[in-house]
Amino acid sequence: MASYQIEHVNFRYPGSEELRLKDVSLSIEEGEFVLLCGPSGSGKTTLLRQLKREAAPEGRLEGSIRYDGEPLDSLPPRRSAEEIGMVFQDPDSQIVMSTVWQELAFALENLGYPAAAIQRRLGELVPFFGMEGWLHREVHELSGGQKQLLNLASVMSLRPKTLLLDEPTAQLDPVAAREFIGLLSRLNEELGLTIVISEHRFEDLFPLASRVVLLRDGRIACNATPREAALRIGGEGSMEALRFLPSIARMFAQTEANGKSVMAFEPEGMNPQSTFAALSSPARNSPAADVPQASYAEQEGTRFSGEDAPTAKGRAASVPLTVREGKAWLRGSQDRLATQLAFAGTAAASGLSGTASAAAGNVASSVAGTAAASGISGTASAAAGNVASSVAGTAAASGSSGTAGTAAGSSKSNAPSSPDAPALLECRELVFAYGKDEALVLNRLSLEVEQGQWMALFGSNGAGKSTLLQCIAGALEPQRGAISLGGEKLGRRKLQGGSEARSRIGYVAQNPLLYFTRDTVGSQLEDRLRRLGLERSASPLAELEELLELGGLQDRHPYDISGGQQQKLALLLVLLGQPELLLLDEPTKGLDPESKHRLAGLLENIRSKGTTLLMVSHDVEFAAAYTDRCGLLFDGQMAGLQSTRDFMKDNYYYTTAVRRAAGELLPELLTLKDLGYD
Amino acid sequence: MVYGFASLHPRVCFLYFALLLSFCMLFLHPLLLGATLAAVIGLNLSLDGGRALRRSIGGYMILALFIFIVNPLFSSRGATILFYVWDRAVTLESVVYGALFSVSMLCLLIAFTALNLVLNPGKLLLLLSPIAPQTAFAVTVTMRFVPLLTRRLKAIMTVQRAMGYFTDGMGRRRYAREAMETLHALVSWSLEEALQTAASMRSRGYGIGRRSSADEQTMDGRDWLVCWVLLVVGGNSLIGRLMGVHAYEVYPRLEPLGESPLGWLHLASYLAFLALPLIMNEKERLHWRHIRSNM
Repeated sequence: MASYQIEHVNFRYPGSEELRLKDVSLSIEEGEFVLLCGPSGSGKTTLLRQLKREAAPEGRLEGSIRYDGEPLDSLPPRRSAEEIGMVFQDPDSQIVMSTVWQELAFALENLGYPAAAIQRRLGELVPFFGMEGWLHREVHELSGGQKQLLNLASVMSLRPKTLLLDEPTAQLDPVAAREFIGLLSRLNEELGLTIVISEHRFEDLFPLASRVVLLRDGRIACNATPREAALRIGGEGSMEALRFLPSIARMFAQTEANGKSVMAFEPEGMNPQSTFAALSSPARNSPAADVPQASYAEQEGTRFSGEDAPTAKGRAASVPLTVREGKAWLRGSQDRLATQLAFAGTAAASGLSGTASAAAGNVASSVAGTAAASGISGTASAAAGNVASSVAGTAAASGSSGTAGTAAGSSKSNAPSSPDAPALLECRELVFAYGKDEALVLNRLSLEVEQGQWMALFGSNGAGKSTLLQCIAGALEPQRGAISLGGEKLGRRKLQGGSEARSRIGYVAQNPLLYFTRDTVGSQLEDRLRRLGLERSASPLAELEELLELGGLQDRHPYDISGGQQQKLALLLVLLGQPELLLLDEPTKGLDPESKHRLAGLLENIRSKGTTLLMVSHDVEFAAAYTDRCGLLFDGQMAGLQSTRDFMKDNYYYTTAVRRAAGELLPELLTLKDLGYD
Repeated sequence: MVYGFASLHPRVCFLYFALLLSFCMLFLHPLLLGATLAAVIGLNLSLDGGRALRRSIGGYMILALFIFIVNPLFSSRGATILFYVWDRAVTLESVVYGALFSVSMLCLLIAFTALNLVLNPGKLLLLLSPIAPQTAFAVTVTMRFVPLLTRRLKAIMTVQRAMGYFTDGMGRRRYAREAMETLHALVSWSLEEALQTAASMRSRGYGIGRRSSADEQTMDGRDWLVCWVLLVVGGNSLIGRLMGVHAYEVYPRLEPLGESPLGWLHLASYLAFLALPLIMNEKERLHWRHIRSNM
């Protein structure tokens, strides 16, 4: 019995002619684990919310959505509330009650269960979620991960058959996210729960999902098992789609697509070329992806393995999704990748154009690598910006540390060399605690950031990352220690009057909503200019607006623009002050891979204009691809502050998935950029 | 405190304090008042070592003193004139009445301090939820907003500090203007979040029927026992007082403090009533001390 049958659904929001969902047809079987991915604004959330009547947005819906054979609209309210559970993105705003216990009982109370029955259900639920230790705590004492776990548990108290999750881990740190996702997989496997999840953190979800649905512009662009999806997306060769693959699968798909060569893994007696064409053609021909629904019914049982299915399935089985599988695959194609790795490095180093491909011999097939080397981006599937990556490759090849390219497109090595550059920011022995009797958040922490650098700081939740940034930004005052910017010591807040030195530091918090105090974007910007004492014409406003693609939003309310635009608006407000040092708190949180890539380009651009960047993040892949130096905050101190390459190579857990898979096989392989893939 | 008197079902605690507070107001007999004062102070001491009382006792004393001094100055009732102030007679009776009244007031206030310790907001809610589940729910939700809004406010101010809008040396007028901006951001942000909260509440079936309450804590055997003891000794004291036992008259002339046989019985049951929570707490304390010394 199908959980959901979605047929030819079109949807538009009120007052808008634009269709947000276009002819979406999807059938979700009971017990499936469906991963919805796609760029922001592709209609993931809109689609997901249509599946839960109580959360469905206002608007005009065409087509039909049936739940368990019945139209969703005619489902009795009680059944709808009990059988379909939904968890939203923001852990905080979903919570209603003030203690954990009350929140767990909330849903059951709504449906009028007697106290004894509630007690009974919670008695079973609480140990399953491991919440015994904090059952009677106040909600505001919990961490973000615990809050989201609580939200899930509260929904699960109704014993739903279907669970819908709208980017549930977007606001969580990786450890909490992994724990949350692990729990989902348990619910799916042990209780046979149908799960539909939209998420950007697909590295962990891809191997768990039974099906991946890629949405683009409100249409279903791909609807297949994870391995098939990896093959199909790889074959399609579009960069936007490729970014939605986990990096291991993407490495495989791109290498495959470039090389089109037979691999050790290939099931014998199969012509890869033709298989590949066969696989990729339907997706290419019809982006709407009318993937035959029928095939799903038949492959229900063999979702993961697909051994008995013909060639395509057999091939799909060889797609590595996890680090473990990636390792096995890498061992088989080590030599090929090694040459490609060396090639991507040396070609960029020598700056050769076309001839490089000849020199490369048998790896000439790696189109992306060649394109990167010759700098003729656009001819290959790789997009602009890969020159920077090849510079990173150079750095690796020549052994010099921490000299990734500054701006996309400029291949000359204008990156600062670490030893001689003057330190822009210097923190010496900072000590900070939030209260007299509370633990030290920063414990004699010292840090130097050089002019023109892009530095990333990692650390677990509560390691003091945000506190450190706020101290530097002047929002908090350390109890001891000194912070100096460009040799000038930053005074205490009350003494600095016009706060000259502080205004040279810009701080972008995690939540952009904190910056919006006006009713339109335009007046918000006016206010900022007035405070800075700048004339509109003399300010960098126009230039920045263009750079951040924020034109034409003057009359909109800051809350009505998209999340990505909100973040950029906050960035714009900060950048108007023309800071020398830009502090970023988790800039990639909740962003889809495409937006991350664009943000990286943007930050590179800002840096090339002379701004030094210091960010705290959980996003290892992002930092590995773009930053110069990385450090780890641990126990209030800096542990390890190295060039990004050395840092990632030294780390065992805190490093990229590609690095974890490549390990000692290909020690120089850190990111896909090293292979010449953008 | 999780043991002893405070661990009783909130309904029993509520019954006890309802009786205690009415006794504080009903009794004017010096003997009973003295016993009440001793008992309520003892109750505070056994609940939290008198910490809460120590914070507020100063104010209570001033109030009591005020009543004690002012009553004889304004009331000239009574037969025994002690002396004159501004041509007004100060009588022994009105001095005594002032004293008794101020002690009664003191008892009431100290009893309230103990009540706050025993029936904290969570327990009051527990008391309320079976009677008015909707109101109890509204109160709970509202209670969550206090720490929530405080934290949001702090987050916004952190950003504004970092932007250089809030500085320590800024003038009052500028501070007020910035504070308005902060509030504006807080309100918009909170409204935005409230929309999501509403969706989450609807998703979990809020509003499709009458809510039940999971907080229905049942009264256990000990609760019933204490309840019955309370009803017997408290009821006895109350009925006795209403029938005129220990009805102490100050005016027109002080009544002698003689005790009738019925009075002794009444006094005994009232003392039992006062001692009940103290006995429960001390028994528990001794029990733990005993365990510790045996370990």
